[in-house]
Amino acid sequence: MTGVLALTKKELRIQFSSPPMYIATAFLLSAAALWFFLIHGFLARDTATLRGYFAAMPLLFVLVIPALTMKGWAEEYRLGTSELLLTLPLRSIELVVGKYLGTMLIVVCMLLLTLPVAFLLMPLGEFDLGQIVTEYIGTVLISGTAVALGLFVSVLCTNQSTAFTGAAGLLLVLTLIGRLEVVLTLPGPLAGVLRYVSLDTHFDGFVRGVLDFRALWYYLWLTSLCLYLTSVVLEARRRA
Amino acid sequence: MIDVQDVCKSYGKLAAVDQVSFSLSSQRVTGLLGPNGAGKTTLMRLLTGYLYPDAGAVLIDGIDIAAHPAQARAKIGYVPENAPLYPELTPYELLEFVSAARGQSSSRKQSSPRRLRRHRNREQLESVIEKVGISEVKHRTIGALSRGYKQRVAVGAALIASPQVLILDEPTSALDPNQTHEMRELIRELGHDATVLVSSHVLSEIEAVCSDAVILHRGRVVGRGDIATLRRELSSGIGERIRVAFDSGYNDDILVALSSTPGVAELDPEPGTGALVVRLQPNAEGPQVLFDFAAKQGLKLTRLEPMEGGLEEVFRVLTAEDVLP
Repeated sequence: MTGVLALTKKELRIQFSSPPMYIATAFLLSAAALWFFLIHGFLARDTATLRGYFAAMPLLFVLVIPALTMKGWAEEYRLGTSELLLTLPLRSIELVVGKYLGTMLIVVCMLLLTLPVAFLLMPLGEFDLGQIVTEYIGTVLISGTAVALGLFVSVLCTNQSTAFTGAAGLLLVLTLIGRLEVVLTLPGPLAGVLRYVSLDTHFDGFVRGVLDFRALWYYLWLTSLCLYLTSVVLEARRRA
Repeated sequence: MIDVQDVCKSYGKLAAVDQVSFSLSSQRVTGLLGPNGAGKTTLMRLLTGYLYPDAGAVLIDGIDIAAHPAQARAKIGYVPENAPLYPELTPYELLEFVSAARGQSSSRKQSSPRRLRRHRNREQLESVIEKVGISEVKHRTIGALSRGYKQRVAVGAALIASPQVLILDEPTSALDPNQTHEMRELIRELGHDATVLVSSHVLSEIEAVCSDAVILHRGRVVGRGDIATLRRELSSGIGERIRVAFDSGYNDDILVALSSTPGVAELDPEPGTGALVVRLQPNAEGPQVLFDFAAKQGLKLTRLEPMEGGLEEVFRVLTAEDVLP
């Protein structure tokens, strides 16, 4: 565990000294606020809920998460620091988890910066605190899965820009795929599969304040699968 | 300490390392030599577990690195070629990270209190910083350091946790002459306690630092052993070199006659000395060939000195294109 934490700390240090992290944070906070106050029109609605604010998160993560994960593995291989990292006495899965936790902590820090929005709006109406907590739980879960997906794409790429494009593309598809039935007539079973695969449809319940354990299981399962596959790719690269 | 058993590694159809076998004993500094593309870097990556072999095995202190990678890697310190480092970190942060990551396996067994362990780790960190001479830059970001300092930081990272095996790929490539001298001293010192493998294109460096050498060519080992023995064996394999001079000097007739003498393989006048450097054929009976020649030509020998081949010559001969089929 010491090795995993050491790697997490190193990832945090690198992220905090990297401009894309600050740009991504500024983008997330300002885009979410613009959406919520100007487009969604929170102040014009007579409802005390942050649903609109959190509903925008999956789409914003399509750009924000790849900006954090693009360096992940692709940059290690490009700079050659993978030789330093992969010759440490750590198993591949420990390396993957260490890197994942480092990036995830950055995302949690970003989400903590959204708390002032909630605190500032609280006096304006009777907000359901339980719903807000559930929304945050859902946001952490969906971002956790997005980070795992982003790092998986990064391990398959040899440079940051491909890793960013690949992860953003994959997240966009996985976010919108569940809504495909709105614009296309799809056979029932196919629509069901697409809804199940989609990151966004599982997020709906959390946004409404429902702690859906099937959705929780879906995010944890997909996150674990991505982390496992990343470690498989790392091992495969050693044998390539 | 390092046991390489019939190791093969290919990239597509190209065999980068082909059935390589050798053993390195502890407390020796061994040089890994070979021309560009010989497979040195691939071999080093196989020894450190960065890559796994397609066939064969690499044992570090008896542990198969592909079967038990974490245990085997815990015994290895590695400086990759060009010393890749994280430019955003400071040397201190990097060494702290490597120390924490490397300390994982040993800290599980340690029974001393955490504070004491932390204190010991910090002491060890400072000692490595002192040893590689990066005290004055330890809090600057690595991206802002010169290549020489980066190289030293990379060596420092390899020395953390006092590994039993040190693998250094071109460890002095970016250092100035004074730093190179200090690094060589450090490598020699490390060789007293650890098994050290150094790869370098600078043959004089290998001769200055290493007691043994492994010579690679086209992915195969074409020579190995201690450097003095390599020189001797090579001389017997390719023919002895003898410096010879006659009382009357030499002229074209003597050169023609000597070069056509049975047992003489090569003949080169040595500039400025009036002597000739004669390479005999491997099966020739040493200086007797030259005594007979002098007697037959009515010449008096004034010099007859066997010459020792340098590592450069050993390298040149072993890695010549016609060595392998």
